Amino acid sequence: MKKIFAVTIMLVMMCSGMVYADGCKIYPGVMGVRANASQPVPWEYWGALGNPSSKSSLAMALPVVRDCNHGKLANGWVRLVDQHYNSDISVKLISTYRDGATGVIYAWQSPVQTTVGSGPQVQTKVFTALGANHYSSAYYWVVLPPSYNGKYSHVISYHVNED
Amino acid sequence: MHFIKNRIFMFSLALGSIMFFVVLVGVNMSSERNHSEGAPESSARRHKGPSMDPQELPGKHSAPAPALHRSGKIDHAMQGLAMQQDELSEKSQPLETEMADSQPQPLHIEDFQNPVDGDMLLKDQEADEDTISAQFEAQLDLFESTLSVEAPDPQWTSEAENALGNNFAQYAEAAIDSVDVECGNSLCRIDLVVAQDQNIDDVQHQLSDLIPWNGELFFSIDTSEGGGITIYAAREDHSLPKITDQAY
Repeated sequence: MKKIFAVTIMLVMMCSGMVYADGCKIYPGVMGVRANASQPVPWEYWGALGNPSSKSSLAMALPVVRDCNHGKLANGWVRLVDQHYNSDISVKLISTYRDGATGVIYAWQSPVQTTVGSGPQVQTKVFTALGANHYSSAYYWVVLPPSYNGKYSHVISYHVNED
Repeated sequence: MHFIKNRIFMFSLALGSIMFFVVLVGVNMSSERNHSEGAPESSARRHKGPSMDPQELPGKHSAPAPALHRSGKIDHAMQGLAMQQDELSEKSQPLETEMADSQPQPLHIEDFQNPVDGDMLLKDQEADEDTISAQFEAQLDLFESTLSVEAPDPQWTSEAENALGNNFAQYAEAAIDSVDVECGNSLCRIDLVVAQDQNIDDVQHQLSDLIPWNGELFFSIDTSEGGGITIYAAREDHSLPKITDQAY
């Protein structure tokens, strides 16, 4: 009986940790998916994803894994490193829903955020609430400038908090 | 809100703990029963009560058997034991029935292919989708009613309409068949029809780049053939009107 009690307590503690994490997630930049095959192949470095091309920008979707039974996207952020001297990284948050009967796509899109200046320092871009329902899918859309002097601009990680 | 959420979370955690504990105890008891069934000798003892075989009497190792048979007291004790056996047999009858009922029943493939649950799930989702569609219709109505009541801002409205018209007209040559723009003082509506040879999915991000300011956007994209795209664009530093806090 004591063993059962102890096992119960341990499992509940483990599960409570998992439940408490519900709704708030941090994803590595390496989860990014390039927009199409004509985009440069991204470069992975310690979980970050960068643009190795010296000529082309890289457009990527950063998928947001949503929790069931949540509605609104409450807030979020993206951590970026911009290493191009005069081209910025742009990023926006998008939620989409496709109507099952009519096929109409409805999408909310946040204002675009852009990096300021350049260098190895991390720039965090914060997003406020965005419309969504519990069937919506969501992602960040990020465009990385070409590399400059062999240095790549990249996405380190991103986060979304659901309400 | 966080306080209530935490309370609900703690309550759920406590309830979950209790349920999990009860289930584990149940599983443990069940496994003990199964274990007993796996040992027929001890099980028989439990169900039948004390054995009437003199060789198995509790005192058989403590006293020699011939001495027991010689004693009239022993006969009396044997009768008492026989009565106790009958009583125990009567009492154990419901327990045996209960154990028989609790034996695992054979499973059938139909148990795992319950079409009723699947249908229910689909119906729930369809009902949800109906609600969401209605919410989007209400959201579009709100955009339109906002546009219709907003007085034009002489500093912004016509300038915004011209800028949008020019940007989309340049793009129109390649990808768009027609464009119609209308602005209030906090938002604009852009209606356009994408050329038939264009992939509607490819133009999505290009379209938002044509809006000459940075603000919140809402897209309604009709994916049927010849379908149009409507974009509601909030003025910079403004938000689009929303039907509820939990906007769809």
